[in-house]
Amino acid sequence: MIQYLVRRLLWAIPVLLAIMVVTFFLARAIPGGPFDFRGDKQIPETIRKNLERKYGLDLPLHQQLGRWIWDAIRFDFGPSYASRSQTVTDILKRTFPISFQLGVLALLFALCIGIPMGTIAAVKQNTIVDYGATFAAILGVSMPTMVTGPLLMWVFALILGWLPAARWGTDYTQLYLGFFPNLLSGKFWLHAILPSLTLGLAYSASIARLTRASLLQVIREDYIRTAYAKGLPGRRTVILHGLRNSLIPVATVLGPMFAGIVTGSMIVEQIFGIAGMGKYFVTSVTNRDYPMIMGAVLLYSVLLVGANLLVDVSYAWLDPRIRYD
Amino acid sequence: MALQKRTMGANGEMRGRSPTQDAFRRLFRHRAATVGAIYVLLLVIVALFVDTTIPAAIFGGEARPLIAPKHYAEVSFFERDLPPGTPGFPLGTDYLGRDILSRTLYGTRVSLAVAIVAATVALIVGLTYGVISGFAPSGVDNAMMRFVDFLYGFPLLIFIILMQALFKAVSRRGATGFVGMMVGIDKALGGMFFLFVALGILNWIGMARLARGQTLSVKQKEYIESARALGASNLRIVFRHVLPNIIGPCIVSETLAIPGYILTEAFLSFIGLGVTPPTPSWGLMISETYQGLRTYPWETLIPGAALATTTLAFNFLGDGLRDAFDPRLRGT
Repeated sequence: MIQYLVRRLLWAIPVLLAIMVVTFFLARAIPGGPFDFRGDKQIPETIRKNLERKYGLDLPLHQQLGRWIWDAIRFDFGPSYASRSQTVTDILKRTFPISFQLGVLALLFALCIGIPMGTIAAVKQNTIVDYGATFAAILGVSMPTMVTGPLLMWVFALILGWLPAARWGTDYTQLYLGFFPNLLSGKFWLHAILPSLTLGLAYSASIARLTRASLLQVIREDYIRTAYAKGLPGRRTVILHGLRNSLIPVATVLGPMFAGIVTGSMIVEQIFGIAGMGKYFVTSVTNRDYPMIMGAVLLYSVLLVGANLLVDVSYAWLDPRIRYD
Repeated sequence: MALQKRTMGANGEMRGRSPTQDAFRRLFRHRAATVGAIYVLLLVIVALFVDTTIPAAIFGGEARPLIAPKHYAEVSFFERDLPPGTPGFPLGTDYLGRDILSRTLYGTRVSLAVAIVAATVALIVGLTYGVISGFAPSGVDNAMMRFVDFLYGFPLLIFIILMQALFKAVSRRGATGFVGMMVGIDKALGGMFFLFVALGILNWIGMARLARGQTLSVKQKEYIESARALGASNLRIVFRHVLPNIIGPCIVSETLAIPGYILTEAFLSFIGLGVTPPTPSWGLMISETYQGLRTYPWETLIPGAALATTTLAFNFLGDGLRDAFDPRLRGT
């Protein structure tokens, strides 16, 4: 197991390096530089040259690439070109926890709704319950966050007025929340419901579909019949013996799903006015804010690699037949 | 389906049904899939004929539009933010006084074009790559698949964002030669061409994996061996024996991927890296109006409903196709 983990982590290094290099060349290939404009006004040639010299943009490309990778290894990207009073690390420290909380809550919601729904649908296959759940799931998969977000906000915040329509944590923009919000504050949860629901809905639907499909295969296997024959009660058999084995396909999609949730939050954050890191994926590119692009891409790639690794490790726990040695 | 069902023909002779015919029978017995197929067909008709006009010669008077009552970019300063049901604007107008019904109808063009072109590009590239990889000697196969694995770990969405930013900046700046030609095509299509390229380039990976797996399993079959024994060339085997046998699952899986393309297009247009305004895309319409949700909810919810129903129809159709072509997977 340890050996496997080490091998996987070592394999992640060239992947991350390649991502960094490709990002570097793609970002540099985009015409225009970070210091072309200030607002709508063009920055004079000499000032632009000076700024570019200060940030090392006048060096030969291979030296810049070397610096870029060295920065990435130390996870220190220097100031953001778009707002030079803050470093990229500061921005990520402030915004990533918010996106992370949103993502984790959405994922928890997706799991807590998706797995039970899929299980019930599989146990009651070809009944009205199953058809209802299947239909709800396909509906959920088809609704993107940019549709469910405004819809939920319109119904629950604007018409019914039950929940706040925007912001994360509090009514005003709090600059620094940290990784662990005040979980006891009711405000936090009230604000969290709509965005996490929006983000988690589509994922819960696809988890439900996967759970149902794989549980249907598992409960036809011999060992389940044996469990029944030994007189185990139905519910216990399905949940203890069937469900655990059927979760492998679910775990497989959870890795990419987790990374998708972090970026998928881009739209949810914009709609609900949440100050997360989602918008930086886009604004950093349109501003040619090279250090910010790198910080965001690197953080995202590390998350992706880590999530996939966690998934592979979880296989061994879900299905003891799978070993990594 | 090796066993072909036999039906009596009109003149009493026995006629076999091919597996494909069987599959289509199963498809049309699937109610949701039929509804989805009809909806998709309607969308295609709308997309094709949305700017067609009935010539003046038929009814006299002026030439009248056939489907969309107005042009998508027809701005009207005094008719902004009208609610649905206003005479002349059945679904209301947006913040520039543009008819929402017309814009939503025109929006089918972008969504369907992106869906079909991206799916076709992904299918062709992925199928070619996968079949070559499956047929090549194991060293080449390994190298090709390592490359695919490598790409699999890449954050594709971010690369789509970067590529779209690159394309947009190039087309804003103007270019000459081959790039200039592409920019010209893109401008003529309202910014859709580069979307096709970005989506197509990055989405063939899953298809390549599927096609390779299918090729490997088909390659072991006896009929390939007998074809080889009869002296068939590799090319002939690929085109006559391998492709026809693997194309079904590949098309089905590509149909299931279409909602994803539609949503990616909507996403890119939402964040401002998709089509060029005023080309109407549902994602763009939502992003332009969601801030006015409190006062003008219809401006956001109508394109949203169009987007959701379209992906739903494709999902139904894809599910039905999968059940029909591979009954073992029914209900998954």
